[in-house]
Amino acid sequence: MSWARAFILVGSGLLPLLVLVAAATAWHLAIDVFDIPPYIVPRPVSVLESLRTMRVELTEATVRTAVAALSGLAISTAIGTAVAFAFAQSSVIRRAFYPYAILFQTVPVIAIAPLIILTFGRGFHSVTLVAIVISIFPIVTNTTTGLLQIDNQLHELFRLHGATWWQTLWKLRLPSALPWMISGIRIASGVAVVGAIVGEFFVGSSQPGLGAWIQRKTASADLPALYATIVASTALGVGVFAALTWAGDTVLRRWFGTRLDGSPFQG
Amino acid sequence: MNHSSSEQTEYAARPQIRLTNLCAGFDGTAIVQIDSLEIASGEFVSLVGPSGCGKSTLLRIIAQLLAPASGELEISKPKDRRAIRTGFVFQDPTLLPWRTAAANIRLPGELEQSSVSSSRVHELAELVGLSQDDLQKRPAALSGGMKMRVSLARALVLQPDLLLLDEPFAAVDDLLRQQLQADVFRIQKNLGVTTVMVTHNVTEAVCMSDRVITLGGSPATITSVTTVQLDRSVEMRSTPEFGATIGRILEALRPPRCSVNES
Repeated sequence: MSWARAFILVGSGLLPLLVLVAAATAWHLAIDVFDIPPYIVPRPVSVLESLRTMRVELTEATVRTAVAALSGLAISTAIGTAVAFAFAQSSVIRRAFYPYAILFQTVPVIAIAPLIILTFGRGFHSVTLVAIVISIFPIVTNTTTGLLQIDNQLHELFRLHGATWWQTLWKLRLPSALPWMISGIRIASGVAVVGAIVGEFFVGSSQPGLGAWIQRKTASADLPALYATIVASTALGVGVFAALTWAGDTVLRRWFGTRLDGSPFQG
Repeated sequence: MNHSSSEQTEYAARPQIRLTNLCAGFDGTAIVQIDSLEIASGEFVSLVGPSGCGKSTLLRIIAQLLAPASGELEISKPKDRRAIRTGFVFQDPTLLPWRTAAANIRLPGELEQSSVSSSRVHELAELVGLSQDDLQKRPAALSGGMKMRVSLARALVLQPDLLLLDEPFAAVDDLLRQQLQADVFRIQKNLGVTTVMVTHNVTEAVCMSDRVITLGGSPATITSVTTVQLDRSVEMRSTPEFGATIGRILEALRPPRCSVNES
């Protein structure tokens, strides 16, 4: 292995880490240079200290939020796929409802969350509902596209051999839509976490997830704790997204022999 | 292979496909108009014409994927079959990417509820030139030529009465095309399956078929029918007869009142 190659291999993990260290150092120095008081911006060291002291509560909160987000995602996947099937089966249904599916995607979650909580009450179910509302549309739109984008010649092949409606769905439409569905679920996983946190933010202390912590620490102006909660929220978002990307890649590799981007998988 | 006149009469005696006053089109505009065309059982016919002349439409009408606007299409079915069986090779391999080559070859059997034994799959693999190893691979791991061979095996799996090829070699490189042409020619002669191929390549048509039919004009009509009576060896391609046959067909393809600069 050449030095250049070794440098690239180590560097792929090392470079982002270097950027992080440099940013934290700059942050630390900026506080001294500009004389910023700790109630405006805390030092990176005190954020780390908060992460250490709050690790039990933060882990608990992260797990709560993860459960709400993943429950929301699971329900979104089930309902979203069913809706996409209805859309793919009838152009009348699609023409009637599809514009609203697009329209709803543009409604900010921050506006809809308080409404959901007012209507359905404070609790886990409302938090999950916010996660569902925000994560269902990428699944609906992606799966619908996947179910409809069938190669014309494959469709002719199925017709040539007198395939039934059921055979076409089961052997052609559904497997063809799978990569689209997986990609939709992946996008939805990121926003489901956002939805759960926003939901918890409005529900407050009765549902003590990361959102509730953000709200509480903002109110008490405990900046190191607030920063630590943000770190945990980001870690959860990245973790869920990475887990689903891995799961999606595994499924595609098993069923298609290809990766998510369509490149062939050898071996 | 030289076709004797007795063979020709035999062809004429049992037409398998008969098109009469057939007109095809979309939204009231005629694309193809065929007054009369008979294709004999076991015959290999090529339809040649410029892009967009409706030759693929005609092929899809014969496959009964499209209905003609008017006129008649008769396909006689063998006595021992309930319905006519058609194998279709598309321009692209058109394989299901999540299935192995073997499972792709089996697909028509699954759709028509007709079981395909694994020995049948192996027999076909040998016929079209696929290895046992290739059979277990998914399309993503196969080369363009191998995918085309899988597609051909799939078209033959149910022992079709009719084999339809829609510009099957348009997407492969020259060397591979010649190889596939020779293989399909050999397989067709072996099985004796009635074959209709659409192509825009005159050389390909002459190398493979018993008759070359040119289509042209708007709506497209049959402009020439050439019976090819040449043996299909590689040496034949450098004979004056071969060149003359191609020249005749190219002449028929030339659009009227418009000079084509042949270089």
